[in-house]
Amino acid sequence: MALGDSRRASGAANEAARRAIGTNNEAARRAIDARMQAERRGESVADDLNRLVRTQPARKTLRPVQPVGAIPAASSRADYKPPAASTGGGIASPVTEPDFSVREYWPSGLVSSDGLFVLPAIKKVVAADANGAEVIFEYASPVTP
Amino acid sequence: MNPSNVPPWGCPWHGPVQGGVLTLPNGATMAWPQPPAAVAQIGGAPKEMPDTYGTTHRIKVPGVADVARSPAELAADQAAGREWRSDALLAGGRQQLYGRTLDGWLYIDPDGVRWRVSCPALHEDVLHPFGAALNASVTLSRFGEFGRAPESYSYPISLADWQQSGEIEFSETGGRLMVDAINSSGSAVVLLIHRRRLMTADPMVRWPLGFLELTLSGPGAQAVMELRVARSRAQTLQLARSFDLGEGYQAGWYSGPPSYSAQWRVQLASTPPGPGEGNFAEWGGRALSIYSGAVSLDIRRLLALWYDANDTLVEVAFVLAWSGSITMPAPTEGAEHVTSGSATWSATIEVGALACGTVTGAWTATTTETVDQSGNGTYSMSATITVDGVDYPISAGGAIFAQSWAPLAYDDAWLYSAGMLDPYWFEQRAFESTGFSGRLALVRYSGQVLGLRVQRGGEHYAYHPVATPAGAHGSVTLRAQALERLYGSYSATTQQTRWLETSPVCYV
Repeated sequence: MALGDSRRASGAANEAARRAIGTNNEAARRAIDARMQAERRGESVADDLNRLVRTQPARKTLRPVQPVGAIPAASSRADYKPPAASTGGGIASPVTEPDFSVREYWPSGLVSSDGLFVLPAIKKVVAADANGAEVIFEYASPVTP
Repeated sequence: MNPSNVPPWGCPWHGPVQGGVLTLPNGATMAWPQPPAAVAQIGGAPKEMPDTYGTTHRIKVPGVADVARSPAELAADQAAGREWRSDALLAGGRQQLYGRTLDGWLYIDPDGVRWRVSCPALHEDVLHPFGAALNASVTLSRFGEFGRAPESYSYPISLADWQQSGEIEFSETGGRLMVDAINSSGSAVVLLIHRRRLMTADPMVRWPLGFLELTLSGPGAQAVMELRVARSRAQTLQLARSFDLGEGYQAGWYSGPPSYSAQWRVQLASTPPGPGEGNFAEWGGRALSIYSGAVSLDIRRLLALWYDANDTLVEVAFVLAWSGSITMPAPTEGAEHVTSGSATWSATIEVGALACGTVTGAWTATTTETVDQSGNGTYSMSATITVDGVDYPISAGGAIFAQSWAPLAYDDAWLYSAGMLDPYWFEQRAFESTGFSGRLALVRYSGQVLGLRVQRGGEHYAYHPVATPAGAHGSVTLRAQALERLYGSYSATTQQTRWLETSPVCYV
């Protein structure tokens, strides 16, 4: 290498080194500034605390079950049992009481301890379901035989 | 009876109520409406009748059993001050139940149906003339069933003869009625015929003159009512005496007209004057009785009729038994004339055959007198009246009386025997706290709490144990106040009694 080339190379290196120094200093100052801001904000403390917290284990998922397919067709028998004459095919909600006056009460009712007062005890309520079919509720007598 | 899985319900709060505060069995207190008194219109203004504040009547529905509680439930009840009772009390003069006034009583008919019974003729304001038949109406109103339409029936009752005439007469010709006792099912009630006395000095607010009993039977819709005289006036006011001192005498020196010489005479007052003589009473004869022997006085005056635990009527009576002897010889010429007497007595309130609150006393007296020929002389008398253990000596003396020999200084009992049979007079003389210390008084603390009071000089009074349906209660208590109104109450459920209260009290 010629001397001139050597000097040019040395000068370029020096320049680069100076530039690098300046860049590093600037970066270092920026880093210092950022660290000081973080310290003031307590970010490092929070990070330290976070490191102390045990991480939650990941939720385990159920083992997938393979579909088993449809129930195979089969045949069986059952005796026919006709429904009771007074019942229909079911009670359709809502059930409502159309006439309060036809309620029936047990004559005894629920008696106060001194026997002077009686709360009425319902014996029978005649109602109708949503289809208009009659629904009868019959309640037990409160009197112990 | 309810199924076992149905908890008891009703009113579990019981105890004495005073000043609007109910004291529960565990000592805790709670606010409670004070059972009100019956109210009368007097002088155009309502006045509460003091003896009705503490009146109670027990109602027991037939067939209702005692409430069954487990030990744990019972412990919880006791801790909370609850009592689940199988009976009830109608409290106060307006028959309070569950804190509400009924203004009537309850009748349990044979079907177990409850009816409220009301009768306007029994109100405090109604004064019934004894000379006219009693005609009234009783109404039954179905009671105690929620959601049921109102149902009521009215029935007439009548009484042709009050049975208020008889040996013992008095000026008033009418009286008031009040429900004074109710049997457990309300099928019989005692109506007290009485004279009401509300003066502050009268601790006996009701003076009975007789008793009616109204009985109810049958279902409420077809009830049968009967009104009868349970005790006539003659049965209510009884007085027996053996105090006949015989015919009157005249004794002394017969001075006569101036031409006569003085002459000692002792003769019946009815002896006619001799020829030419003037009346002995005009010429020196002085009246006296000549008697030696036993004397007695027995007073029995009904104060109430109560129903006992078996719903049987029990008489409550003031009984005074006084007996002794008197020596009244004929005066002799020139000698001292000495008369003397002594007696013992007891007064009590009897509940049936049970004596409650007895007061005892004694009487001794001596009178000495000398009469000279000129019609002058001196006398001295002394007596000791003992009442409730306290002696009250009496003495007097001086110049002889012009018209009569000096009498014995009797006690009050003699006054009862002196022909004063008008009950009004009897009440005033016997029981008003005026004059003589040692006078008796009856105290009606409430319909079921009656007692005797004895004045012990000045403003001190001894209150004796009271009579209640359960018998005597309390001990002799001295109080200084003379005219304070005192109250009491009795619970037929617990047999507890309060008395000598200065403000109204009533068990619920």
